[in-house]
Amino acid sequence: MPKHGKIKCRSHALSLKNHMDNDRMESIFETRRNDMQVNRMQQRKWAKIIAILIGILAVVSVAAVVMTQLHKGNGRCYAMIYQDGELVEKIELWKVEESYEKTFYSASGGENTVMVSPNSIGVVKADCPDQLCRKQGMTEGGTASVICLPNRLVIEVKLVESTKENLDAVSR
Amino acid sequence: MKAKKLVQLSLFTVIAVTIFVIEATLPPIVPIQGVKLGLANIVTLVLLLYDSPKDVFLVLFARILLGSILGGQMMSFLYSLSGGVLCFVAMTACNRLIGRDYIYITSVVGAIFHNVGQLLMALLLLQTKGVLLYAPILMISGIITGLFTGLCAHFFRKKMGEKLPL
Repeated sequence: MPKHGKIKCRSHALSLKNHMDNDRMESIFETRRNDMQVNRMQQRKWAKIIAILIGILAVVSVAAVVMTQLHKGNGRCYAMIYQDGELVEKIELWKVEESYEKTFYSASGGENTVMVSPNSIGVVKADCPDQLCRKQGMTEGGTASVICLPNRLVIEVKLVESTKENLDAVSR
Repeated sequence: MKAKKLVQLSLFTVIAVTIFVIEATLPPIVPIQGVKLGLANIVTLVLLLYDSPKDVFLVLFARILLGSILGGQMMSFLYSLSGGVLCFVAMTACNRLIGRDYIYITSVVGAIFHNVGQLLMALLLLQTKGVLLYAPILMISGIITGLFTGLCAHFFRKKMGEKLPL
C-alpha cells in the first residue's frame, strides 16, 4: 500500500464505504449491538443468580440467629474460657451460688476480669482498646460467646445437654 | 505509573484512610467485633468502577497498612488484611461477571467475603470454634452494610458520570 495523506486516506475510506454493501454494514452493526445485548443479558442473569444466593444466605443467617436465641432457654449451662487458644477453665455456671470475679492474663500482657454469676458470665473489666468484650455485658441463658479479640480471650457458654445422667444429678 | 495516576491514587488513599480513621473513632453500634459500616470500602468500590484491579489493590493495601498504623493495633492489621484481600478478590471477580451497573451487588458480595476473611483469621488466631457463633450475625451485618456502601458508590457514579473528572 502506498503512503496516504490525510485527504487520500479519507477518500480511500469513503470509496471503501461506497463499495461496501449497505446490507453488510448494517449486519456488522447489528451483530455488534447483539453482542452488547447478549453481554448485558449475561450480566443481568449473573446479577440475578448472585442476588438470589445472597437472599438465601440472608434467610439462613436470620434463621440461625433466631434458632440460637430460641435455643438459649434457661437451662443449666457451663462456660469454657479460652485464653490464647487454650482452654484454661471450665465453670459449671448452674452450680455457682455466689458471684465472684476472676482475672485472666493473656500472653501479650492483656487483662480481663471476668464476673462469674449464677447461670451467667461476662467481662466486667478489660484493658483492651475497644472494650467490646465488656460492652457485651453478662450472658443470659445458654449458647453464647463473649470474645475479646485484642487479648485473645474467648468465653463460650453452652447448655448442658439434658441427658439422663444430668437429670439424675439434679434429683439427687 | 504516570504522575497523574499517582496523584489520583494517592488522593483516593488519603480519602480512604481519613474515612477509616474517623469511622474507628465512632462508637460501635453493636458491641460485636467485626460489625461496622465499612465506609472506607466506598473508596474501594468507586475505584473498582473507574480503575484497573491493580490500582484498586494498591489503594486498598495502602489504606489497610496506614489505617492499622494510625489505629495503633498490629492485631487489627491482620484482621483487616485477611478481610480486605478476600473482599478484593471476590469483588473483582464479581465485578467482571456482572458489570458496573450492579455495583451494589458486588459490594454486598465483597462485604460478605470481608467478614468471612475476618472470621477465618479469628478462627486461626483464637483457635476456638466459639467464634463461629458470630457467623450468622456477621453475614447479616455484611449484607446490610454492603448494600449501604454499594449504593453510595452507585450514586457516586450516577453523579460523576462514566469518567472521573480528575
